[in-house]
Amino acid sequence: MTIEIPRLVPGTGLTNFPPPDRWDDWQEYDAKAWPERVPHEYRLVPTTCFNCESACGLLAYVDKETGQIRKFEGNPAHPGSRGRNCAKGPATINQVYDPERILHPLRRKGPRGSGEWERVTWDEALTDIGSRIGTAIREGRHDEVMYHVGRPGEDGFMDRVLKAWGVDGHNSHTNICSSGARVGYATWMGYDRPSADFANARFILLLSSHLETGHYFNPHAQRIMEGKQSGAKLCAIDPRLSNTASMSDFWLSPWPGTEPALFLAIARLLLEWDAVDHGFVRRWVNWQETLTERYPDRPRTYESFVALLEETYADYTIEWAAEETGVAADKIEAVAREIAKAGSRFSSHTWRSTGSGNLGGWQAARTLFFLHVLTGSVGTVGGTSPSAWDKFKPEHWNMPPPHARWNELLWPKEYPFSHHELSYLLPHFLKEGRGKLDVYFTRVYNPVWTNPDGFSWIEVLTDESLVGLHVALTPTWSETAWFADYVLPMGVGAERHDTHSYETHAGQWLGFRQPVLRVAGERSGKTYERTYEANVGEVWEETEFWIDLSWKIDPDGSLGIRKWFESPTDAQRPVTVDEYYGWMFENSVPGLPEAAAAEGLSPLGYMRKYGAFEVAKDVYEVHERPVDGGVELEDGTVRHGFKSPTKKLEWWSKTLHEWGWEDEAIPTYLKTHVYWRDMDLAGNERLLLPIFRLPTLIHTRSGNAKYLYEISHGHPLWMNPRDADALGFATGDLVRLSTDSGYFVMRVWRTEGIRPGVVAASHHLGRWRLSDALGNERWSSALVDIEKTGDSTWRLRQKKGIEPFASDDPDSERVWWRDAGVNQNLAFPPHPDPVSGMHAWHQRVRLTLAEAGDRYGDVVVDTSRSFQVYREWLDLTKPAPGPGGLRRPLWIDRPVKPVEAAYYM
Amino acid sequence: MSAAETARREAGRWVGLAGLAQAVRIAGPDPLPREVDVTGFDPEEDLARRARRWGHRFSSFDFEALAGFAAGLAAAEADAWDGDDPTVATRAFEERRFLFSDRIVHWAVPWADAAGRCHPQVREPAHALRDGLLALGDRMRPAPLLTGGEGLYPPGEDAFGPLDDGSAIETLLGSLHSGVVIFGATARSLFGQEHERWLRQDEVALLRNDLCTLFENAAGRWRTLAEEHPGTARLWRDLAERAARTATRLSA
Repeated sequence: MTIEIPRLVPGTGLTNFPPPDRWDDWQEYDAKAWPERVPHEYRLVPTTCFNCESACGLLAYVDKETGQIRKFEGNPAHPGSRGRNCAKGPATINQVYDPERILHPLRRKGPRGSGEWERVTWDEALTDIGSRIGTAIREGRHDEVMYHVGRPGEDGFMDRVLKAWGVDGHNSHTNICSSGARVGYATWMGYDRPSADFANARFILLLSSHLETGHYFNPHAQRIMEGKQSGAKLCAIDPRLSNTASMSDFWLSPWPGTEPALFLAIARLLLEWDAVDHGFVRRWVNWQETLTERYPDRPRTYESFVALLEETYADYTIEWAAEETGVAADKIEAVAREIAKAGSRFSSHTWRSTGSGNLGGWQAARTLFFLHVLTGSVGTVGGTSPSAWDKFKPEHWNMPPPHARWNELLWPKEYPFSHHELSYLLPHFLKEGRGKLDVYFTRVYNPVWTNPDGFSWIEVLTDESLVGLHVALTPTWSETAWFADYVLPMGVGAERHDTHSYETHAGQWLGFRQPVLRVAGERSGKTYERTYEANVGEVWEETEFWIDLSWKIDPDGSLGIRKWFESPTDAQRPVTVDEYYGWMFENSVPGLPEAAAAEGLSPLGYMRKYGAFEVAKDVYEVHERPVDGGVELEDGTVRHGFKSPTKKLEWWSKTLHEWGWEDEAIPTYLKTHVYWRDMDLAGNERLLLPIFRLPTLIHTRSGNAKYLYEISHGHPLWMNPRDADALGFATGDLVRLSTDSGYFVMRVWRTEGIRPGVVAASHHLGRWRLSDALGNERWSSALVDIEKTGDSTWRLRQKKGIEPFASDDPDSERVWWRDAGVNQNLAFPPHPDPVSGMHAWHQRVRLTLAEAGDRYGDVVVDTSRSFQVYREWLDLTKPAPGPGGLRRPLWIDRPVKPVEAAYYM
Repeated sequence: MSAAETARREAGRWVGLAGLAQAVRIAGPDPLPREVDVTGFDPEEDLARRARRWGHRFSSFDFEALAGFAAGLAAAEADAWDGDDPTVATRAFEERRFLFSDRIVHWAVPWADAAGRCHPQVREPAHALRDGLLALGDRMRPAPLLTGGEGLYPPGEDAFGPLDDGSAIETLLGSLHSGVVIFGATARSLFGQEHERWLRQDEVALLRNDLCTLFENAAGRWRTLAEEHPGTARLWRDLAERAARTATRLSA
């Protein structure tokens, strides 16, 4: 019998998504009423997920009868996510209807951190905070106002707000996240992020899979799958057998911190095999500048430059790299062959992992990108582009001019190359007397829990002489909000306006996050003045919050702030979100007005309907575009080029050289602070890898997502059986991990999935609360006591783990998981890399069996030791001024960029 | 090779696998090449639902029918790539991967392996079918050995479901959930006479030692298979543990 291939008909039987023309009138049966067929009428409103950076499209199903959101699914009109989501997107429903949610503005009553709160109105909160900021600005204390952001979720709106205030007060989480990778990329090309064209690649290399299993999980994973379908091979480099590594063709598990050695050995092979795209290197690398300024004695020819590369990397043999990294030489060679074979279709990605784990980690991105430069896979189909080419940034309405201030608390002279603010050193700067804060906003940010050295944060947050007023803008309770004066409930992805765009693939798109209950209400004829009228409780959106706060700072306009927030049609009232985003969509998104007109919609109406717009497809080789004012090439043509000082790719960085980092000015291998040969591996020292993601959690914000915690709620210490046997540990044993500032207690899990010599624990667990029913989510946190046991010594001890609890949500009585995990970050002293400013997360730990009296989850820290460690690392820096008295090279990006004069000391 | 060509080639592979299964069918009726006969779970409703989304209706639910559907999905994927429709293309891949991992590989490999082992006359096609599925598994990687559980299975379950559903031993031995597919030929060789594949309680007691050895050997074979095929290793490791547990239960 012959087997016949059935002809399948997608599109008839395959109803992937409700078609947009029926989004206002969609009917589905109630799943819970099964087997009865009970129809429900829905209005479907698109928005953008807020649960990671990639900003996937969501479609909220708003029940017409109840006015409540029933569920979230994917938005098929979104060019980045194309209708698909990871587990975090649909879990937005948990975040909206969390029974423990903060629904109204709260103000503390007792001492800060005592946990006593009273409900206040938005107007009371705004008036108090606004008048305090207004006074600080009037008195010239601009630097005492600081906005510290965790999850940004908006593109440029806060830049505008702070410029309007004239405050150099933008602080971010970047230095505990991605500075290492950013500096590595920026020193090549000025752009600080990569954008891999996975879908068209022949070889895909992921230096860890941080982004692909956490941030960008869904848009990147889709395209990696497409690439693999087309025959691409996948390589994951990670000391840990991640889910992605288990799906890869190659899993390389090097000693953490040695990855640059591996890449340079591959670079050497590419040079030896002459698998180099000489046309590209000759045209786009700054070899003339390198030879002229750094190697003036060498002939000024391209051939001489290639010889220089060969000489520079001659010692990086694969045999040496195998010894250094612990990866077999034949594996390194096999990967090198794949890269050589892929040529211009080689794509790669790195974000956190080794770049954020190690002293000198920024060279991981720099040496990785070197492989792209050699193979000419920069900006190509299937290659890797600068992120800015694949991210669309609209202009903001009525943008204020840059200010002329420089806040040393954020941009200290010791770190002229940092990407970006030295956020996690703030407690130490305050303790050193470098400044103080009068009004400090933590915005969707939880430094007490997320940052290293959280007890130092508690020390400064509870000292009112250092932090005058702490305002926590947050969609959920957090460890940090507990130490605030105001806790102001902010909206999640379905409750706010933002624009958003990220580099998900070789194209550009703009997403529009919107408060879906407000939009659904307006579609049914209701009117609202402010978004909190439509959201649950009085949860507000930030666009309106900052507009209204700015009016409170400058009620009569005398500070010159209010004018930036007045309606363009009526100066006596604040600008509305419709006016603000209406201007943006009409005036700064190419193609959108035409697309909207074709459907008889305004540009704003189009974005409200679809939630996203594709600005450009197939964006490649932007550097080759002819432009005025670009870079003149050897053949006399003038091209767009890159954003570096030479507008070329800088193998040798004159900037690093001029600022005293000569040895680091080329792609090179720097010894990490957790170098394996320096550790007592025969004894009980091991390298702790504390920064891997669980694909289903998102730091603080998943604490109120029961779907996600039901999936991920275990926090073991990964340990190879060889180490476990050598140290005498069995799975489940309680062990102490001692760092340079304290220790914590976890349970061992023996697994072959980690390199011997390295132990690991995810950074996604270990949530805690100080009150039984308040201060954090009971879905995800342990109840703890914090005790100050001496002048600078602290102990956190768990009183109980996660338990079922009574609430409006019957599921809370069904909680079956118990482990909240261990807040290991508390026991990490700060390790600021002297170049990137990145906190080098990896720790050298000493492992011993728990002692009598130790309990699971114990964390004991001496903050004076943390401070000492900070000072030791500070000694590694080469402070400004640089050439010409500069605080920071002018060409390197920074948020809320001031006027040039502010750059000079 | 383009994505369309890759998918089209896979469609051809599925047709080939269906042909091999047809050839093996002569091995006898017990158990048939169907999930319900090997594991006891009837996937009819699930398969019908999946197929409806693609305008397809199953006439039966044996391996050949499933392989035909998989071939159709691969062809649909190829057409979608050619038609510049990545959404349908990746959906077709995703659907095929689910079909392969949820409805085919976990029982069809053990079935084909046992069929070839019990019936020398069809060993070649049976083991070619097994190896073809394993090769597909190493490409699709539906069940690699992940080191973190991360919610893959509820407590007390593995890739095949509950570790202990309270079944009587003779019921367990009739299902792959024991760790082995017992064919009629296996029972016949144990008894030295004609026997159906189902064993009665008293027969289990009588053959306890032989069965114990059978399951211990099987556990070793599954472990080897897990080492050789990382894309489906979790399944074979779980089967190895199940077979070892059954052996322990038999020896108790």
